[in-house]
Amino acid sequence: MTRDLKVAGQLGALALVLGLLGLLVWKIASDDAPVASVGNPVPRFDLPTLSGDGRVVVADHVGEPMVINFWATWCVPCRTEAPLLERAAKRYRDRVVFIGVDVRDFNGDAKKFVADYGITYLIAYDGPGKLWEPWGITGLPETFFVDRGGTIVAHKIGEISDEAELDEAIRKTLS
Amino acid sequence: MRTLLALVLALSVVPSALASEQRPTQAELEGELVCPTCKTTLDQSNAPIATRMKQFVRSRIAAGDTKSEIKEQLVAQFGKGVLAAPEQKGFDLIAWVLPIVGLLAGAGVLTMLAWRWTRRPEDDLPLLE
Repeated sequence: MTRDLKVAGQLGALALVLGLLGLLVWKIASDDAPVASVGNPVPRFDLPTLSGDGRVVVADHVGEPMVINFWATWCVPCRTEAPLLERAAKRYRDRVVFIGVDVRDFNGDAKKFVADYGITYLIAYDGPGKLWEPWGITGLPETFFVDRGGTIVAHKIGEISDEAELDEAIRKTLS
Repeated sequence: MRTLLALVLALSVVPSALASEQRPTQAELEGELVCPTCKTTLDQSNAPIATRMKQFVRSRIAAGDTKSEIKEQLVAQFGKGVLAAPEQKGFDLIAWVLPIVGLLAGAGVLTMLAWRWTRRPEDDLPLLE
């Protein structure tokens, strides 16, 4: 009886160690999962709009060129970049879909920002920052350019400096 | 005597906990909330979003919100990740209960082992008549 208990205990300990090892392997494997980068398919997301009256679903726009810009109101360069993006969204209307993703931000602050800068393109709200890690965001702002095939063709970390830089990246999505 | 002491201690802790819930201070909330970008508590962070959150907390305290209300508003914006400690309800309760269960189980195992080690081998031998 005592021997049976001992064997059962050893088997239990072995199962526990194997379970923890499995968790470690799973963690390492999931950390290596591809993040959003040039040449990779655009990761899908489905987020509420900033206004809360609908959803922004990336899968719905695959087949159209996209500009996906991650921003927040507390990010100073995002303020200087916003008018540039809005002008481009107007210039490329009906040809390119512009999506802004407001991350780790107060919803109310973001609504005021959108009104202040007269932003008319789609804005998704990701307060908890769920996309931060899956997309491999390193800081704000960060912008991804996606072609019709749903592949990321350009990626800008930091503020887009001027119209020429933005146009060049957008042209890649259209070619 | 011990029961009386425990009762006195409990009665002295409850009012301060209630006061903290009803009239939270800026400092205690900054220690219980996490900056979503740098993952440290607000009192340890000067990140722009942490500064904005501190400002929000200050304004809600001034408006007379309770500690739970302020936390709920921030969780609604940023998710449960803004809480430095898991909530003491629902699934999150496991995080509070599990360490205690682990400690008790560990103490049980140690007690059993100590009892076995201190037993003399002859204790196990059958008595000869």
